[in-house]
Amino acid sequence: MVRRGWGMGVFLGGVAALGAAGCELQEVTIARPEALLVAEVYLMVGDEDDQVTAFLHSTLGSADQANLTAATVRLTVGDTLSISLLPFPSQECLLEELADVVEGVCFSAGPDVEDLVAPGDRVEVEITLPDGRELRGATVLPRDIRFLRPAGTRICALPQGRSLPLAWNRSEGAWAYAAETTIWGLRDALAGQGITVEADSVALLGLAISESDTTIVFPGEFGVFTRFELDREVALALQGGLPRGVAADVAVAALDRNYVNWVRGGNFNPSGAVRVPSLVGDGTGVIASVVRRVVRVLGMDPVYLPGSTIPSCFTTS
Amino acid sequence: MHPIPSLLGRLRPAGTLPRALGVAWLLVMGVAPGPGPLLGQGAPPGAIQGRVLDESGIPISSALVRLFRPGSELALRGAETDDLGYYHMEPLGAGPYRVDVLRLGFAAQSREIEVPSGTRLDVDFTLVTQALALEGINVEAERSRERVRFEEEAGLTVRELARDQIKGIPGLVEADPLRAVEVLPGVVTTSDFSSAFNVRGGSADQNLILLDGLPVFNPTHLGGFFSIFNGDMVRRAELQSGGFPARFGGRVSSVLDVQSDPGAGQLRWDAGVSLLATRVALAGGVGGGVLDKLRLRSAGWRVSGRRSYFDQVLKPFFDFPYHLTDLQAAFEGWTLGGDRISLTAYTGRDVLDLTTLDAEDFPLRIDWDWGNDLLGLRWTRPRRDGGSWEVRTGYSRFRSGLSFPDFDDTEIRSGISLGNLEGDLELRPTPYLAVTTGGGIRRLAVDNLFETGGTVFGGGKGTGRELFGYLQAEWNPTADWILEVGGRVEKFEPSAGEDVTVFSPRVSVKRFLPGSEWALKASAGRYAQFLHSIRDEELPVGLDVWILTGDQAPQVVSDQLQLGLEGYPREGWYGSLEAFYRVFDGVVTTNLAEDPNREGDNYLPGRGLSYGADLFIRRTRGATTGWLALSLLRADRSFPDFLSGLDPAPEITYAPVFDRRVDADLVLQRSLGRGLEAGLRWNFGTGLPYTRPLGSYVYLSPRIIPGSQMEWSSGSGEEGEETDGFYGVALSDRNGARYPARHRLDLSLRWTVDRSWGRMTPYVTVLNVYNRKNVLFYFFQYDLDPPMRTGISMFPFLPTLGVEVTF
Repeated sequence: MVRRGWGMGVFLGGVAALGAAGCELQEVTIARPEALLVAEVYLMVGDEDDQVTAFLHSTLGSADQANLTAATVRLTVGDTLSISLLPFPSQECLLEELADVVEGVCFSAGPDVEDLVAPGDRVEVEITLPDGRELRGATVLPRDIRFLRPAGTRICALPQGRSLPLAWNRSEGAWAYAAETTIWGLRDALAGQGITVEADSVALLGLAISESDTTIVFPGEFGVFTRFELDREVALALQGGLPRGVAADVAVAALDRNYVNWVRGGNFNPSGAVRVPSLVGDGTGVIASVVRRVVRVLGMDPVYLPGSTIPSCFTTS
Repeated sequence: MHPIPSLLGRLRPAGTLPRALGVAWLLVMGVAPGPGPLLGQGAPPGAIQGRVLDESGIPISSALVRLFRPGSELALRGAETDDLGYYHMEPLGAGPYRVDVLRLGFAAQSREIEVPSGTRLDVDFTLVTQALALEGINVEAERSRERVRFEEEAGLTVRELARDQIKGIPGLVEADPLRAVEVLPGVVTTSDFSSAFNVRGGSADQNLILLDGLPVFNPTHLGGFFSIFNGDMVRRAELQSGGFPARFGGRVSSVLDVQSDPGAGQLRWDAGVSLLATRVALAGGVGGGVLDKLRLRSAGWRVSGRRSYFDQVLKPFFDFPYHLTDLQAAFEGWTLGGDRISLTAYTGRDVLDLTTLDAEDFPLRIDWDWGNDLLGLRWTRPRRDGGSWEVRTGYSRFRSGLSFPDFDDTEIRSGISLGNLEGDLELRPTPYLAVTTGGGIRRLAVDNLFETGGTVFGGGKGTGRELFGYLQAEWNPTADWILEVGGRVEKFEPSAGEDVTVFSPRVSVKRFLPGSEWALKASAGRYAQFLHSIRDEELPVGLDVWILTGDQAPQVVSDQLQLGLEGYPREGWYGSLEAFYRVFDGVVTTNLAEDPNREGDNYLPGRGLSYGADLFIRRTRGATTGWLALSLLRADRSFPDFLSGLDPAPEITYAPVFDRRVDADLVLQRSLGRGLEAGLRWNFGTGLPYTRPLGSYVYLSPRIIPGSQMEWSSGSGEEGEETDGFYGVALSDRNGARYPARHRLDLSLRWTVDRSWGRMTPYVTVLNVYNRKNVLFYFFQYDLDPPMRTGISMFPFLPTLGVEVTF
């Protein structure tokens, strides 16, 4: 079952060696890139706000904002329901500070998206630009998931220094599960240990591969892909459990085939990351679907737990 | 010294060739058989055979045995002794002859004999050591084993590099057999930074690399920069690149056999310092008392050690995190009965220790080590008829382990091991027929794991048992023809998956052209292998990660055809031209769009095709020796295109990264007198394929926390500060573009100085003398305005030096 990832460590070492031994080549101006449409369509359903967005952008140097704004983005749910997404401010799709970096247009179904799409639905997308270029693709949303630990709560308390083995039910059709957390309050919580934390909030990712891999340990198994970047002391502190006084939003999501292919990438190419698309036509892109659940975890002093009104995170169904 | 017209006596009555078979041969070769016999009609021919030994009874290889008519100085026939000291000459007309034996370092011997009709006469020689090398003997005795193969083998294509040649080829830092094969015909390398090579359109994992007959799975240090083979331990390296007889198996593209030199039993020290490492080798013999106890007639051994030294030299200043070590031993003993027992052992490690570096500079502590261990034992019993028994057993393994001391949830390891027991029996029932049969069992085991954060991202354990047997016959129906016919049966029993049985017929034929020293040859065969490396060949450095045939991957089966012309246009020159055609079925590529819920789709089976021609012209005599190798190749691979995003993925056919259409190597070595030896290597190769990006786009990553927006992957700075992140690329046709042609000139100068205490050889090597910027990668930077293409080149102008000493 060997798959991939083996080459990355070797490649990093290799790059260092090449940097030392090789030479930069003379820079050569090249022709403008081909104008290709890039579309990233995400259907995220589950807890709280369902989101149905499509961000249209282009290969660098070929942006045509007017053309993108005039695009039509049409979703077909099942065999009958057809929905057109409308242009929204790009912050609907992107971090605000990226507005100047990425020229693109965000399309959204807007806030009234509840029950528009549901787990198990098949959704097709057709994107058409005024100049005739188009992209098409389809996704099948994974089946619904719910937490088995912690069960039946949106907020729970985790004793200081303990880890939480999150568990959820199997989602039919999922190719993998992503887990993501944003932890607040680390700066104060770790100051007592002499650990300086530059950013007060830390976002960490975890991953569970395959439909049947339905557990992950919080917070120790989160952040495995950012261990090069994460402050070592912070990373080590989180290995021992959640510190007292911090809060974390923890989301677990069942991911469809397209999501997994788009984020894990393809062969090595020295000019950039290769992604496996799920949209075909005059460009590249993805239509991905996600079914997610969220729980807020509070790092508590153990002595407060018995009388606390916040349920324990170790509650199981 | 007269040239040796060794083909003069290769003649036998054409009438002995069965007519039907003769017609078939004519169809195969498209030419008529050679002229009639010189032997007398009616009387059955005779033959001579024997062994050439030294005073202690050790067989002498590469001794030149020549046959004369009494009173004549014109040699009728010539032969060279093999590794067991055996030679034979047949057929011969009955009558008186004189036999001379020459070998560098020994006194020549001559003997008058009478060859009876219909009998094989045994004529053994025991040569006496003579320190003085006689003029002329040197030249004759150093005749290449290439000549013997030319005369005695039908189809196998072998290129051989002796230790001195390996050391004389300008190379990176120090003599390296793996790097040296780059200059041979049919061999393509894709990067200066890796010693991985491709032969005649085969993938790198289709090369079987042997150390004294035992496979080595990752024979490199530093991710492929250098091989594990210490030049002081190497007797020769042979690259077998096509036309394999039935006794060969295990890989489908080539065999590189690196043979250790256990020495001749005399005490000898070799040492060297290069910019890479220091090394020392000690050779010696075994005392009489020990020999008696071991019931040996004689024995020789050599041990060596090598270690890089940067970590030690730089220790006062900072912790250099990498070092390599090699330990190797070779032993060869001869029993009282004339059997040979040889032992090979190797252990080596690369260690990358990033656990002691400053956390400010390198926050993630990493400990990575990898290496090979190998132990092999071989017993060979010569037979009186020139054949032999041989039994081999051994164990070889490679292990790599990457750990993060701070995170015990992460483990990355890869390993493969092989244990084998094999045997061969060669019989020569008649002077015109040699029959070889053999078989064996091999056990392969792989253990790969990539686990982090509680998730196994890849890996798996597996074992496989390979049983094989073969039978091959080499028949010389007339002196003009050699026919090799054989078959090999291989059964692979994987721990997961169905058993696989492959029958591989092999046939080769050689036709010596009358009145010349040229021969036409043709061979066809099927070859199979039951393991794959899943290393991404697009990366210029890296370790092989092996998987076995089974429920995840099929076996590779390759059908191959080659036609060639080879010969000796004049004394001291050898030429060969071979065309080849190969198809590969069952090659695999990693499926980067595999379904994690499905077993069996981690690798995609595909097909391959290659064809081309290799020209090889070598000069072996004169002040300037060397060769020109010119290789033409066209290769492709067909796989499902998982990057298409379509399900099912359509098939695409593309040129693999090693599809170098034209590759030329000129290698020259010249003695300049006063102990100076100069070496030159010039390489030219047409551009290798790559996949050109049509454009790039900002690589956005979705987040699943509700209310989150997409962010620029690796681009989100802290507290809103934005930094550059990744870019994604939209690609054109796979490998549809080509890098510019490459060429490079390397020079070396070795100066051998004899002193009372021994011999010293300082050397200097200059790679890429005219600093050609051969492209390793292009970077298409569409984020710049205007868009730019930058890149990185391979080795720049790179002088290195070192010194070797011998006591």
